[in-house]
Amino acid sequence: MQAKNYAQVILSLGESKLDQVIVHLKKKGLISLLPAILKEIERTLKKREKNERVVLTSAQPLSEAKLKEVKHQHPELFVHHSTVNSTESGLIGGYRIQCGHKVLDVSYKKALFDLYQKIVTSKP
Amino acid sequence: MSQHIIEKIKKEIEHFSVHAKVEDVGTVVRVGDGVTEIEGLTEAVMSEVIVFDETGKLSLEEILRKEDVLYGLILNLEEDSVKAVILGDTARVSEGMTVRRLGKVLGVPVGDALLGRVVNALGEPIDGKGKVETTKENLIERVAYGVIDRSAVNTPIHTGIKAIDAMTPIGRGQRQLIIGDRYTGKTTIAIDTILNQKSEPENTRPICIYVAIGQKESKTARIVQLLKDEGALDYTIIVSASASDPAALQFLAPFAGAAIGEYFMEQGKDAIVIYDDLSKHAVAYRQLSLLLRRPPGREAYPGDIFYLHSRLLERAAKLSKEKGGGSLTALPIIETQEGDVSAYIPTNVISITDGQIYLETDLFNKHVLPAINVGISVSRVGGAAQTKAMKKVAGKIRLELAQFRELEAFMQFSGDLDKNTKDRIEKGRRLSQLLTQNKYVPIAFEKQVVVIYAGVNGYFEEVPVDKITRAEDALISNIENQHAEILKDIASSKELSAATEESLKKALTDFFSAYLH
Repeated sequence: MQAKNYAQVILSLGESKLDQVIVHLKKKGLISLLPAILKEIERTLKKREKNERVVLTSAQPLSEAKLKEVKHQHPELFVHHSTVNSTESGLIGGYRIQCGHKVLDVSYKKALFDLYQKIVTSKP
Repeated sequence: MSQHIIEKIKKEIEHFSVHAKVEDVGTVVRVGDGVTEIEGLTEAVMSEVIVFDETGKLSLEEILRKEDVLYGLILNLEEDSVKAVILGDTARVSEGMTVRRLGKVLGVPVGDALLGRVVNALGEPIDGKGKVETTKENLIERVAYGVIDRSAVNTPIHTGIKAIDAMTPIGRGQRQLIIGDRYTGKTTIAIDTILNQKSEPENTRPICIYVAIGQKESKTARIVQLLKDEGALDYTIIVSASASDPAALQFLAPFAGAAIGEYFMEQGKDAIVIYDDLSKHAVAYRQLSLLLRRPPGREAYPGDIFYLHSRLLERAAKLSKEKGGGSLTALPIIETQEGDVSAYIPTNVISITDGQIYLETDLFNKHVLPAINVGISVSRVGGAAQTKAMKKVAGKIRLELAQFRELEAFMQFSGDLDKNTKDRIEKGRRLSQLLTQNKYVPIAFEKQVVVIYAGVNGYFEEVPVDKITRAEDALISNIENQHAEILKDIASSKELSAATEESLKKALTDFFSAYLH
């Protein structure tokens, strides 16, 4: 918990204040926390990177024009510049966009599964 | 049939359209022991249901072959993550799995279709008799009815057990605790209560819900078979979370039972819910709380262990006429260790309930069955939940037995006691023997009235103590065959009128003079 708090402080203060933080840790006798703080910083940066990355997965590779169209249709998901395109034939068709913890799935796989669910659970 | 299926599919395809929307999802970062930590789900609420998306790496064909969905329940909301319990097999959840919110709090299907069925804590059938077709769902956790919506408990629930119906009567809407060591007959009392409802007229017969928490599946199966053989399963619902089920399901089972009972209560009907047992429920909740890293308190139970049981038992109520007049009676069971009723969980539940039936191992070993210690068992509702007929005879037997208990210590000196004391002791012994009864043979209340009336008015005076039970059986048989109108009169009017009492006296005199000679 302490390591996590110090990691957050370092990330918010920035590189310029790093020396001051290290001096503070030495003063408090907490210099042994440094490996744990480093681990927390790495974890936080990895999480931020993941949250800021947009992953666009499609059944077949999308053309530039199609990509542009998708970005235009869903601007709220493409707020960050880093976009990763990948293909997954299991989607059958369509695409799926994931930005952090927001997902938009317009693949044929999901649509067919939703249709199946609707049929088996609907009343006669 | 196949044409019907084709038409249905065509109709769904015609009306189908893709409504894609941005979903708030989470990712599993840690899983183990039935608890998972999930990052994301920033808009999740407490007790919200989530679905673990197992379809991620599977093809459509594989997904369609999968039969069930794995749910979870959010129980901890933390700064960067949420913790949820898995309502199923933990092995199906893996790190990195996507989790979706269902946008609703956990509910259980309710309805008449559940009668005669065995379901798990999520309301899914586990008796192999197919799907349960219900149209309504009740929330598993809900606020209990307030004071204004309730009315006084004034209608009895007849358990069919003389010691209970006479000495510690239970009313519809009451919470009566059954407490004792292991193998003292706690479940037997609960089952006898269910069996005895068969003698109630169908329009006033309570629906019975038996919630098995952490029990052996063989025990639950035995109970189901017994109820089926006695014709009691038709008005009973079994909710089972066995010892091999995850702690999360054992935690939810009693709430599911209460939710099912509330459905019938809100329809103006009466229902009885038996929680067997809440000691195991507390242990399951302790396990969950420790895994959720909640701070442990006394005996490692979480700080809200009292609230767990109080909010469950408060849902038992007798509703006012404006709300339909229905009732939900709760019979929680607690298992003590070495007779210690001053332990943490027993004292908690004793302070919540409206009375307790205390079963003792010593009495059980002496073959005093049911092994009820009538001295310390109590019903806080008392005579308000008794018919007039039973109240008339029960008051006398209570007094006689209280005096007998006072004098019991002098029994070893019986040679030196005065006649009056000796007579009281003898009468007390006869009345104690009269209150014994075999298991799974509940006695209708009108027969109980006859037997107890005979006991308190000295008709069994000349019957040896060890022959009391046989004499009682013979008496009941005689009254049933030759004086059925007495039983009918008591059953319909619920009281012992002067005329009926005269007929009863004559019938008893005739019977005992023939029986004893």
